[in-house]
Amino acid sequence: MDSKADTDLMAVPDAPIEFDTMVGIPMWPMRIKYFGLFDWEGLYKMVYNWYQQKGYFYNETNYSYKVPTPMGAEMKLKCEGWRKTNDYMREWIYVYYHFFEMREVEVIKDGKKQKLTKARFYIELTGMVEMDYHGRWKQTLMGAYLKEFYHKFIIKKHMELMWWDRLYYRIYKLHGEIKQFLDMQGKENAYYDVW
Amino acid sequence: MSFREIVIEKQRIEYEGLFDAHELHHIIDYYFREKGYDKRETRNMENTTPEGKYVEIEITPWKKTTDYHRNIIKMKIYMSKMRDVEVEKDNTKIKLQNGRVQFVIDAFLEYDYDDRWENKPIHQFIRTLFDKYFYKPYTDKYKGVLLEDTRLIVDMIKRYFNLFEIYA
Repeated sequence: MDSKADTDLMAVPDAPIEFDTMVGIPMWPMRIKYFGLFDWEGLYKMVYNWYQQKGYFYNETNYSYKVPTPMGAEMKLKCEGWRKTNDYMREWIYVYYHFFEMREVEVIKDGKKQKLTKARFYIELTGMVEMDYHGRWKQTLMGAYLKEFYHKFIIKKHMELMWWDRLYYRIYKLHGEIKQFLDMQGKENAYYDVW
Repeated sequence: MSFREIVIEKQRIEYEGLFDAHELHHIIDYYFREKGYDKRETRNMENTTPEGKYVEIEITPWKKTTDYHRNIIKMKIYMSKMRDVEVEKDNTKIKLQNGRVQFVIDAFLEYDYDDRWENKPIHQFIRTLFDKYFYKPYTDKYKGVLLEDTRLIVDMIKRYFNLFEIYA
């Protein structure tokens, strides 16, 4: 069952994150794979509302749809949301949907006809804590050096332990809500009240 | 690149029968939170097949024990041929799942997770020297803690499934 994983024992995909202190702190991607029936409209609205409720500016950067084949359609959607945490840093949350064999089906649920979507898809959630988003410190070479020093030696722990951690668990909350919406088996999130 | 030592390799638990998938996931997630591990879910897949649901979950919670050592427990959960069933327990109907569950558990102790001692060969040499000789008692202690954390979760899962256990 896990023959592939057996061979790459040491390939644990959680190597320490390289902090590009000049740009920001990226997150590990969180993925959900699913095959079955679901309510696409409801899922889309849920994610959109989540961004709105948490005060993020929502933007769809890419939306592509391929002409359906007998198997179904293929669709990709990239969205992002950003929020200023303070004058110096900004949080980004990216959601990427990729659907395969997407078809609309009619089902009867609780005696009512309902239109649902049947597809194979994956959702990837990532994020980034962007530092110096105004780009004030990178205008001069001296500023860039100072910024690097500031990030590496003064606020490094703060970046890791507070800002990165907070965004990390915030993305996990969205991850958990998507799983909850899809009624997946592993939908539990014991870390729901962290941050 | 940081160095990882395998403390537990491919410990497996298998079970076939009735269980509550949500509760099982809940127990595992809460256990790691209580132990102070950070959450990391590397894979979560669910597939509906004619034989039932197939679920693959991979979690790799980690805990920084010091500025130099980090505990990583990698747990893969495979649930297959899983179907929802209704069971009557104490005169109340409850929804459970019937299927096959397999756990594969690895535990690693990671040294120098920030790659501070990786830049020069002399740094690597000093690091190895310290790891092998000077810090060995400390390292053994950290390994013991990781072993204990892993054994406890294995024990909890076994207890959940009512399996035979030797560790208490």
